[in-house]
Amino acid sequence: MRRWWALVTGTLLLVMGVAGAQDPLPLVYDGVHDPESAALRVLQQPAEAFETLLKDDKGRVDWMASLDAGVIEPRTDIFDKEKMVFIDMNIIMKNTASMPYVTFQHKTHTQWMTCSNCHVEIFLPQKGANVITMAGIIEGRACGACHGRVAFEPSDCERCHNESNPTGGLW
Amino acid sequence: MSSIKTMYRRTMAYTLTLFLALGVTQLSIAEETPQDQRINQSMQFVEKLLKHSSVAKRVHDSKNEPAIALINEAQSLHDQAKQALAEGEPGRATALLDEAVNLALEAGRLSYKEWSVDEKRKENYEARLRSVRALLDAEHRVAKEKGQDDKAFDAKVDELIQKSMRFASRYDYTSARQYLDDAYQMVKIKIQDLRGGDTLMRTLTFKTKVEEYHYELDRNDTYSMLIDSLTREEGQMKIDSIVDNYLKKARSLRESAQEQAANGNHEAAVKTLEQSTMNLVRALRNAGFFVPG
Repeated sequence: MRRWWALVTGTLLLVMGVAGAQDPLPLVYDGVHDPESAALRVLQQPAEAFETLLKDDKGRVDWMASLDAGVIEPRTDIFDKEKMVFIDMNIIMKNTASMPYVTFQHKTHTQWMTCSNCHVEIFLPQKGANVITMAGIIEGRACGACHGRVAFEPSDCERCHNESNPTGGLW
Repeated sequence: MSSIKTMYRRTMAYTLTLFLALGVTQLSIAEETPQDQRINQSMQFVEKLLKHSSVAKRVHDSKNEPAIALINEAQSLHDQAKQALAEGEPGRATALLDEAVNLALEAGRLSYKEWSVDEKRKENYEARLRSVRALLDAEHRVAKEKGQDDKAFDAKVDELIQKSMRFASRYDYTSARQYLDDAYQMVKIKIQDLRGGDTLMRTLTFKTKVEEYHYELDRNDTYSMLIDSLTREEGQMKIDSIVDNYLKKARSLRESAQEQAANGNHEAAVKTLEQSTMNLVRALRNAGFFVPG
């Protein structure tokens, strides 16, 4: 009798668990918001907010694709008055050992930000003036000021290491 | 046989009871829609904002008459929202609550001490000035590189910066910022004109082997951090004997490199560190992670 009961209950719980699974996480489970706060239910849930946005091949929101497709139209500043100036200039960084070289695209970054967001507090706008290491990035310096916090994680290697390296390979 | 029938009947009874309980729960949830839940929560949140929050406290403590008038008006809108909800007009109630929040936040801003806002304006101005100067230096270098020096442009930007600095010296950061932002915009557009479409190759050149050694140490650290993250935090990387051998070799080589560096032989230390890093990469590959190269 006990085995029947366990089987039925287990199956029901499994079905409920699968049905209840959500991606992205509700705010109450995201480890950022205070789950005890009454204000939590007033905030829009990410699943609802992100529903219409384009997704990458891992199922996460692809903010660049969404911006390029016109799905979102962010304000340029608080008052929506600053004129965006896109700088179309790529920098290829070759000190990557066996990993593919890194391509930094000013254009994709200046579609979101203005020059002074990075220059000069994070990067000096000068050749040879910035030593960037992965360890530093993971610790929140240089690119890590945003990547891993408000932009994609540094563990998405292929998104930056995407230029063929003759001594190494590609993805 | 009869015991099997009894067992079957009991199981079906328990299952049906469970489904019934779930159904009742669903029904009771259906009586309060998600919209009702949101409005009720909003009502409670706005009440807290107007009566118990730090914003409300600051407004009342400030004795700032316009700010207090605004928060009182927000309270009145909250009361009207309650009335609208009771009359079955949730749309109007939501609009009134949104307006109440806006008024409360405006009251908070009004009650904020003036000196704090000025400090922030000064900070923002100085940050923007540093940015403009650095970008202007960059523009000079690029213009020189391309043989496109433009003295008229430089003079115009300099004039704007000087005007902004004159206003800043009188603590009028709002006016100062207007001229500075004009200079900023001009420099940005000029850099795009000069650099648009360019691809620059960057290779680090180290002045000394000591610098290169520290750089390679960072690289070695990166792979160690990655392995730590994959094993301890995420449990994705399993350490078998082959992987373990590579990790041990990597650690031993790193220690050798550090000894070589301590003895002043940084050239050898760099090579040893590169081998250590290669063993970390082999450990990752043998654990099933693709690392190109």
